[in-house]
Amino acid sequence: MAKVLSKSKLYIGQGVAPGVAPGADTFDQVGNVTALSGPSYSKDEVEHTDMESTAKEFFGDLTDYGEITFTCNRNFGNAGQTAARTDAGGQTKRNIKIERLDPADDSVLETADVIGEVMEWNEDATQGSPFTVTGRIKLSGTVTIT
Amino acid sequence: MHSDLFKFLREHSVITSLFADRVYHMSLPTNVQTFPALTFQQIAQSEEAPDFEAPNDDKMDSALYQFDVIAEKSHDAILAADSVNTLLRNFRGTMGATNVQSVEMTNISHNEERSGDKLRRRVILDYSFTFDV
Repeated sequence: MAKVLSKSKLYIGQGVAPGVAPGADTFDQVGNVTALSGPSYSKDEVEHTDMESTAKEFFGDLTDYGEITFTCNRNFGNAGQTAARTDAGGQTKRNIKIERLDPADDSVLETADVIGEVMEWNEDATQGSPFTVTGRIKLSGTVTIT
Repeated sequence: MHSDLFKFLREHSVITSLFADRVYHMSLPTNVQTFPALTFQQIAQSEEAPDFEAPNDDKMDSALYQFDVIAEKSHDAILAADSVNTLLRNFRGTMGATNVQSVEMTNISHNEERSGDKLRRRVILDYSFTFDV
């Protein structure tokens, strides 16, 4: 497939995860995103070298899917941004969805579903510049790709 | 934006009191004999804050406009330019159907030019307009 310019959509479920499954949830899109980073995949190394070993031996621990960080233009009418800011002030896990889109026609190339909690919401109002927000969602459990 | 700005200039009392209908896009017509006169032109335009909602996002652009106040005497040019600057600098509001979020003055310079056997004074004012598209 040809290379594509980045275009993604970030959604936050209205239900409380994991009690509400992604398929049964209603999602609010976090609108006007300009940058989206994550999930990231990493595993700790667990050494299990023993006296029988002829070289160091390791296996990978459980995968940590890290976090999603996002930057968006502040949209006071966007339900997803409102939900994210509210969650940053509480302790609620949500179903999180990311769609990767083909910029040419907005067709969905891939969807990632995961449980996460909004940990940060940072507002930046600088004179002469668009009002922007950066946020961080810590992911918990597995990322399901479809 | 451009047509709204032109109409705004043609109709605003500060501009009409100084220039009457001597407000021109781009260059000064050669048959203008009464001064001061005002010309304006767009230098550049770019989109502000594009995001992943495009092409369905609410758009905001910035445009750089140059205004030239032209007079036969320095005093007339400078006074007229000061009035234009007071009107445009930090303007916020509507110009026709265009919602202007900010106007920032980016440059003022003084120039002299010869027209036939006459010297004219030209005060150039540059502004960055940020507006809803």
